[in-house]
Amino acid sequence: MTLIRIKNGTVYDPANGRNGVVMDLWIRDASIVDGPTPEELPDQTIDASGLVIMPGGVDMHCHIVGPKVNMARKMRPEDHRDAPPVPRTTITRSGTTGSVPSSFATGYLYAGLGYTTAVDAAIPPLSALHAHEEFLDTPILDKAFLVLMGNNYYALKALAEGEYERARAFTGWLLESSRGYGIKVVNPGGVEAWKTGWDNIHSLDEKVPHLDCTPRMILKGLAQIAMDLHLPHSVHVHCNNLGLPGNSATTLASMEALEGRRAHLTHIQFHSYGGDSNDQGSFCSDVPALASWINAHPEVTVDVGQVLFGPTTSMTGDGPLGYFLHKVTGRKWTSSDTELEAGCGIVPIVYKEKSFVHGLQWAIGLEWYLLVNDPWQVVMSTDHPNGASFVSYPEIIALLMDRNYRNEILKRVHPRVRERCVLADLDREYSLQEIAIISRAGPARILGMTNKGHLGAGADADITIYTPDTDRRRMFELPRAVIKSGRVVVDRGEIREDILGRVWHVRPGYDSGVLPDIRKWFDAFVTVRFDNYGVDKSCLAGMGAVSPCAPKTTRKGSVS
Amino acid sequence: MAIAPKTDRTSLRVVSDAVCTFCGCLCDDIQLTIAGNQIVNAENACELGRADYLGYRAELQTGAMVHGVAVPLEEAFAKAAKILADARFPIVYGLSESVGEAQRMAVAIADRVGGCIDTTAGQAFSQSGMAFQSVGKVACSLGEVKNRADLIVLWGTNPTESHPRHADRYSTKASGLFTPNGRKDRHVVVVDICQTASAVEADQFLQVMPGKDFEVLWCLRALIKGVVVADSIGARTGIPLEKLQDLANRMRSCQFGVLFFGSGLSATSGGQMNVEAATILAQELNEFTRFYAMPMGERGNSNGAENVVAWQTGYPCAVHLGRGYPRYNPGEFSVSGILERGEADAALIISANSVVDLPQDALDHLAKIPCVVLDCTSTVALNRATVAFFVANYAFETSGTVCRADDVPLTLRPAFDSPRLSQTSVLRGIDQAIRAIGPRI
Repeated sequence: MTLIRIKNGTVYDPANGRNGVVMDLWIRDASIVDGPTPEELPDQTIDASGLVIMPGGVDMHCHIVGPKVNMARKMRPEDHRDAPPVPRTTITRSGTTGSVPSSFATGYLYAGLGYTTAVDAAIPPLSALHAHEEFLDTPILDKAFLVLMGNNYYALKALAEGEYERARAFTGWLLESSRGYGIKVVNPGGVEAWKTGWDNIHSLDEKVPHLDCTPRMILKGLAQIAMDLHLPHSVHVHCNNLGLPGNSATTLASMEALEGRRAHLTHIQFHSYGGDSNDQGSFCSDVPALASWINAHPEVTVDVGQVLFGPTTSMTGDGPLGYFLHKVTGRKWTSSDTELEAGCGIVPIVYKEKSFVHGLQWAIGLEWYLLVNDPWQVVMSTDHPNGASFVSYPEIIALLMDRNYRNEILKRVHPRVRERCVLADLDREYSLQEIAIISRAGPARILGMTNKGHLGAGADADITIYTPDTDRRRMFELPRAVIKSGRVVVDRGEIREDILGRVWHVRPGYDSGVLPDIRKWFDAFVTVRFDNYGVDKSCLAGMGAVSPCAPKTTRKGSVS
Repeated sequence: MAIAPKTDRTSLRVVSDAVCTFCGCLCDDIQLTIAGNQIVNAENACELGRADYLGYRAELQTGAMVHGVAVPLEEAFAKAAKILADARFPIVYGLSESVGEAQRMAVAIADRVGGCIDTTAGQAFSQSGMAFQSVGKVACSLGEVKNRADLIVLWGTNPTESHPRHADRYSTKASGLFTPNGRKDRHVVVVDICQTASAVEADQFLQVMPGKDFEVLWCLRALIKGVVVADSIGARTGIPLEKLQDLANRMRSCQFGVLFFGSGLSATSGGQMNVEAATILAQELNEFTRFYAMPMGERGNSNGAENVVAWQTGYPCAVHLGRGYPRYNPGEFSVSGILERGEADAALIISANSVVDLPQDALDHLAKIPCVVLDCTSTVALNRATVAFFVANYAFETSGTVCRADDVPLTLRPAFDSPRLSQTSVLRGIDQAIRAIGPRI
């Protein structure tokens, strides 16, 4: 048993109502505990006088493992070669960076920024085993992944045939067998339509080819299933028509289609465009209308998918989007479809300050943070690496906390950007407490990770200590120390201990009566045997941890 | 049907849904019947897979040797570690007959000793992998082909003989969701330099003159875009213009087309350009329909090796860690070149089969430097190794992850327990011994 005292830090712990409170924090082994009796002395004391303390960061939407990410690594040696490498040390492995860092580098870079949990947002369940193996080579972070389902043919067919119970049982089985964390919907129905030879699906009531099923039915069905399975996280939605001018109408329709169900809409920046889909010049921001809808609907949350200027790699489970970007950029393109489950597109991209479209995307992202009233409803993300790498988070924080800095950049971007959005009129500046919400407390709560994102007794001892600095970017780029599971893993930017974090997954349970039908489906249409599908517990190498599925998400997680 | 050897029938064991590693198909529906230490039947396997299974013989030798003398494992680990840690330019090579866990450990060792790691995939990768880095790819898992493809083009490949179950399980004859009648729902075209068994079974065979694949693919790109092509293309490539026009029309008008290419396209001179041309053709066809271009895949787990090396280092093969971080340069850091130039001064070889394709100059240099070799059979390389480890046969005696030609991961179901350590365990032992020696920076 190790007892650590972090003395006199200025604590920002919004989940427990602590807003800059100077206090001691106590860690016993891997958890935060109440202060012990006066006679018990700590084994170690960390003096945090004058320092800022927050829970470890939580990235709820990124692409860090799995076949898509790895194909991007393989396709783009130039992305690594042009970026500073991560040299090996006596305790850490070497790696490469760039927009798609190697697995070990990913863990170290996140930890170096004070992030201790990251959720990969798009894994085809057929490739779950690959994702889990890569997790074992992604150090320090606690991890989880969302399972691509919005174009899963079996699920769509069950919903189309009005067999909700079967769809629900299938979902429960799929999450358990892949050891996934939640349900991801990418361009509902659109990827299946693309595979069938269509260009895409454009509206919520368009039918998916061969199926009596619409995006609306998929959204409603999977949102309801997430609720009925009592998953810790709601359905996680990438809406139809990503990136197209005028797609805000689709986004609003998707929000309405949920009819009050819990949902998380991801990289909302890419879905908030006004204008005419056939006229790039008409492109404008529709954030005010969408944000006011969010302000009136506490059951729906968003993460932003902020665009920042520079080179990166676009990668998506949205096959038709990959093709669209290939046509727009003329760059090399990888497409990779997974049988009856999902699609995938990868294209290198450069976001340019002087491009009207890119400048507006940058502004639209910022508008989202500034126009959603309740910071618990909006989460900081770049949809890594789509809008930018996660290493850009300190830049976003600086833009949100300092309107002068924001306005300086706004002056530099394409002049038409200011006419097509309201960013110039927004004076709001984020406080440290609000930053703590959008980067850790909020995402943890939205994910239903009850032991993450806060510093109350019982929470995992994942803690970031910052040196206060008026240069917010510098402050958040280089934490003074990072503690993961009660171990000091980063000290002034240096990795001090290389540990492996846990892999969170769910076991919602399901009606096993569905299994013979799924087996029949596999025998007929899937090229992997039913009994060879899924991920054996041994593949998690003892790092697995089950997040409970319960009507009330107050119970603590248990380690399997 | 193979004739089972005479055995005690009462002791038969069955392993269901075993994964066959013989070719890139990774058929995962094999039912093995096992008597004692022999596989007596491999139901569902093709003739190649069955021969592989039935040819399995339990190896008697266990443990490790240093300079041909049996030593305790710990001593062998220490000796191997010293060789690798003391070397100025060690190489780690092989990995295609390894599961993911062993591959991960092998990269860890290369990282720790600052060596160069390459996979046998490096040889093939230099063609299709480089094409991938130039233009990308349009691929899908094989089940998409099974369920949707109505046009299949087999280019420089003869799956009837090299991947015997490919047709039934995944491609030309497989029935699926939108292809309920299997072969009848598809048009099959073979492009090759000679009439193969696959060509005989196809609806159309186009015989291309050797070395003219690129011209044909480029011509198809033109025809698909409506560019006028001169009649002389027939004389230059062996395929008359009207046949190419017909193929171009079929490619444009199909619902879901796939071009599978084999070594006949990718492993010939200019293979990289050929694969690029096939890829660009497939990419451009997506303006009209869905179209894919994919390799047939090869024996073993070279795909998995490429994946592991890529996620750990950022690069798929030919990675040099000597400066303390990964650098990538196929050719310069390919193991064959390093050995031919006499640069390496120690080697860790994982599965001796991996060295047989190396050039003679490379093999000559390999014979001069201290080698640590892991193998499951008593090969020449193993017997000549400075440190030799007799390890379990990955395909029959270990579990772990292997990767299909289309990147679908599968878990092996071992037919036997082995009295020998797995590759993973030996590599872990070596890694721990290297750590015990202390840091090398």
